[in-house]
Amino acid sequence: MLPEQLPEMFKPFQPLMDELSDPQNKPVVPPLDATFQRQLRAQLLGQQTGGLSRQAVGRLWGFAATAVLLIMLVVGIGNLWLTLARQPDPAAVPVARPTATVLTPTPTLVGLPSTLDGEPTRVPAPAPTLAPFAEPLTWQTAVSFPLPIGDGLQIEAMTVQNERLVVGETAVLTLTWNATAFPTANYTSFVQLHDSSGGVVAQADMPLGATSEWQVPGAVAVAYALPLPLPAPNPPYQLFVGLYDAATGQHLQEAGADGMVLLVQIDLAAAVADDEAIANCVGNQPTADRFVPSYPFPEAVANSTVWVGDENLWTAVPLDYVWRDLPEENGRYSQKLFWWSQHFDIANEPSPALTVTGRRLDGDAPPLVAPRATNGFSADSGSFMLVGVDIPAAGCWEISGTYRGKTVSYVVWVAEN
Amino acid sequence: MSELDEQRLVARAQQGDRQAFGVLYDRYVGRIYAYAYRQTQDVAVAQDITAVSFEKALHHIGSFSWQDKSVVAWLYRIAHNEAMQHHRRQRWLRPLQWLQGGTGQRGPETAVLRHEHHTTLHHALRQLPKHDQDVLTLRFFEELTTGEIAAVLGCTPDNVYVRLHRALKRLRQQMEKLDPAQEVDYVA
Repeated sequence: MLPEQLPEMFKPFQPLMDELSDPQNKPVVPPLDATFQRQLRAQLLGQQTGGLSRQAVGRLWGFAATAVLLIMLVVGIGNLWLTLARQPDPAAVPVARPTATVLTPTPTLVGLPSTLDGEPTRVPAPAPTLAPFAEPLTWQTAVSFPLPIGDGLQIEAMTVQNERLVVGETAVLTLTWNATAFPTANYTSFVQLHDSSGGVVAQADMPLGATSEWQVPGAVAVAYALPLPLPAPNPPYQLFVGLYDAATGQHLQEAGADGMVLLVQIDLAAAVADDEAIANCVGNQPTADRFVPSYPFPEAVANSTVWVGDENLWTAVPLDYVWRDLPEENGRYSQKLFWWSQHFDIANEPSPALTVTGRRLDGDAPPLVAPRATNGFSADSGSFMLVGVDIPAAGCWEISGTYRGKTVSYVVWVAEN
Repeated sequence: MSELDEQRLVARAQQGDRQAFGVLYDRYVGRIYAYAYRQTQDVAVAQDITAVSFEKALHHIGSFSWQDKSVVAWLYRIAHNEAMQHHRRQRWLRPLQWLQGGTGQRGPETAVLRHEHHTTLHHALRQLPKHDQDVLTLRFFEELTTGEIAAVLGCTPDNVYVRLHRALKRLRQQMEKLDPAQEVDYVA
């Protein structure tokens, strides 16, 4: 006999639940050994509160042994790393290693190569906040290297970790610094991102260490993490680099106007031209208004994703309206679509009356296949409706969801794998 | 035993009365052992889990609070965590064996039908994800209330309904897959 009745939504499962509840169908359990039961009772009632059982003592010994092994492993790896880091390179010209300790500027250091003393540090990028729609950005180098900055210091090379830049995410670039003459001060380097009005929209400072002790030639690679700001500032953007005296904060004016040198032009138009098909596809969104749900739903959604719709029906779409790396089989792609509504009642709607349709906008393709929706719940995003759709081809698709008379549509680019 | 009696027993056990804890032990040791056995299919391991669960219960009875849960749910939660730890340790050693049972005793024909169905039902159960098995076990074999299941699994009662609904749906699909000709309401 079950302890309580289940809600109406379980009615379709009544025969199955009856079977499960039938005592005849209960898995057979060997009877509890009476001696064991008696001994355990005596042990429990006889032992002191602070006493430990045999199993608990054994477990403690296990933990202790594991801890000792882990410590030995960490010490061993640390020693090995230190040994390797201190190996002299016979081919290298003697260079005074910067004694810089890694500071924690904001944004923080992402990584340093082995040319700097100290363990490379990896710091999680700042979490982006809710962002408006933004085109992907691309780099367009504005200068040639080596690029003299001043006081004997120059940049020999620049590398960018990100394949494409999206506002709200963090760009990571590495500059390789070199000294062609003896610098007269200890410098901290910085990179600044300016929008078209000249305003600083992102900055990362990184100390170069005791540059005054650098000998020539020598090279140090320094990584910078630039959180691309939200909302998207006025494009095009320009990335400047400069130096300032770590002791006084004075900019090295030799570097250029305002002590900065233009390093990179980031041109939104170039990005659109590079990816014209995507831009043409997702540039005109039908009814996809940005939306911030009210309590208890979370205001923000996962990284690089935004809410669209209103309180009657809303969904989550990628910031750049591109679905990448979807599971693919024979040219068909599958995707899970999550929808929310203030009117959705998870307890009474096991199969919500949500219909999802899709049509390809840039070519012929059969319509998107969407089965009946199901329901779901998560602590992060509350109760939701879920549909797994089958997309017949990559390309530009208009997706529409309708629930209780409310329709939300958006256009998305399904990237080919 | 009424809830009031149980509250009194817990209060006495919290004040160090071992006999009161002994009453709770006598009442629930069988259920905890059965649950541990259903989770592990090993008598020795089930005994270990039972012993450790009651030792932990004894050591932590002072911190037990009635808020949102009963003693039995609390004991199940301890045993559940112990079983999970056991599975984590055993994951690479052997696959989880779960739910093997006997047949009914309703006469030859029914027994045969029931055996077939019983096998299908339990085979389908074994095919389900572990979290589905957990919620079905707690509900139908351990006969816990929704609130108690929520306390054991560390979620809300609403979430228990969602999990249970999904688990039943998947169980039905699994049974249809295993035996397409058989309908859900097979044995009267």
